[in-house]
Amino acid sequence: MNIKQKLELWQQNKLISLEQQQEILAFEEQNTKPFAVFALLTISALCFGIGLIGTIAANWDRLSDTMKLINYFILSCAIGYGIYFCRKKYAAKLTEALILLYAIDILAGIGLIAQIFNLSSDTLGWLLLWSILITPLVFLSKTPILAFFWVCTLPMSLLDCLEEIEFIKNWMDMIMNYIPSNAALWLITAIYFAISCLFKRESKIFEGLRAWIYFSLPCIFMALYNDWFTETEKNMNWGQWSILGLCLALSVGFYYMPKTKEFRGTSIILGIFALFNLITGLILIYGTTAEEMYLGNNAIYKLTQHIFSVALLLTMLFRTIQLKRLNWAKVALTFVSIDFFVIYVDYSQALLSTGLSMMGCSLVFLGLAYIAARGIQLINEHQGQTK
Amino acid sequence: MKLNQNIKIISALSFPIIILIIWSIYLSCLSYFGQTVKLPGAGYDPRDLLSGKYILLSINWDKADCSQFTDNSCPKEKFEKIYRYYAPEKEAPQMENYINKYLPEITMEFTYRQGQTPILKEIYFDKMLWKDYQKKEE
Repeated sequence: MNIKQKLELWQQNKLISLEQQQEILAFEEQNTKPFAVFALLTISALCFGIGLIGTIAANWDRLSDTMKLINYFILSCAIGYGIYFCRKKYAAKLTEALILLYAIDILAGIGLIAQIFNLSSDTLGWLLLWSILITPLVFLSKTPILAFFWVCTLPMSLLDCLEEIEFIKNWMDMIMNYIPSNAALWLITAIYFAISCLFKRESKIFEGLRAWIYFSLPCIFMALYNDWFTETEKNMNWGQWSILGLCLALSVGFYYMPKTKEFRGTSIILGIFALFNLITGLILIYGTTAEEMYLGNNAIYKLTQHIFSVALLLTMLFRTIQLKRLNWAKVALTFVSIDFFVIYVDYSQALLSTGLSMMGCSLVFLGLAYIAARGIQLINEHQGQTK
Repeated sequence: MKLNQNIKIISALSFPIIILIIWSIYLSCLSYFGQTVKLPGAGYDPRDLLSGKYILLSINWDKADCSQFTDNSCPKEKFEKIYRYYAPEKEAPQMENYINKYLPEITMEFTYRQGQTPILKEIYFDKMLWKDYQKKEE
């Protein structure tokens, strides 16, 4: 229930007066932070992070092993201190973002140590170590995002570890022989659902398990699709990966929709990205190669892209002029920014290294966020004058 | 109460770093203080990952010199079946090319301590460190 509906309900029940309701609504409208700006800022930060990692990775080989480890531990301590500091300052969202970053950093650290000491490939073993190391963070975090990954990786890696025991191995082999992949996923989902009932509804573990169930449903359909239609083809193609990406983005987006505006904006953008990827993936099926697609030589792709952007620019323009549908303007702006991103990546790939390109992209998004914030401020001011 | 809360947070945050530091120190100690053994390598399988290349090698026990070990017997069960050696991204394609073109004799250098997992330190092509071999070929 949003604030408007709540206020109406309070007013109907005579908890507040009509004047108070209007005053609160006017105040909220003035002070609400637009989700499009937050989404653009989130993507800008994401691009910058990827770019920075990409740039360091490109020069990584020049560092000695000891320096690599020292760099890594300094970075980890900095993130750890960041979490502590933000928590102390009650910056809840930043704390959560840093906790997630810290968890990713720990996984990267395990990979780095394995790389330096040439440890043999044991992905699930490392995932088990990661799951154990992030356990305190799962309980420290106030959102279920990390719990979602934790409930996925811990049982999977633990099961793999337990498989070394003869009895469990035989039992597992028997299950895998008789149950197809989609049925196994249904079964795991049911088990997760049963386990989630043991936890209180408000607990993070319950939320994490519930999120896993949401995620597993599109996976089940993917498995069904694979089992029924592509019996010989075991590897998923672009189109299938795109559908999975779309399902993941949308399931995460829908799951968080009533919670945070930033996540809603970001997940919508990611969902559209996945959809766009799906469309291009479908075009790929009709004989176009990946190189042609991403080097921009494909006429259909280019044409679609430009029609898309012109239509959206017009939508944004008309809706902004009308001033009554501010949200459309924000959505249109988001679409345009995606279009900019696609064109930018399309061309910058040929000119810059991936890391620098992504950092540049971060600036583009930062600029778009500024334009969006400024535009919305102007619209609000104009609305105030017309009233 | 607040002090307790702070201690809890600091413990939760430092736990992963402390474990990773201990793990790194342990692996470094194993790598530096263990006995060095050289074993012939067989087979390779270069794979692209995010950055760099991992070359997969297995030990050719038929040609191994077991006198390097204390009781003159090769502790095969202590070693993994397949080892992963990380080669930097720029050098890996050349390395792969040398293996394909010249078929050099591959030797894997391990540090080994009884009761501990052996650690792969270096690989040699025709008894030369692979980087030196690369320079020689250039």
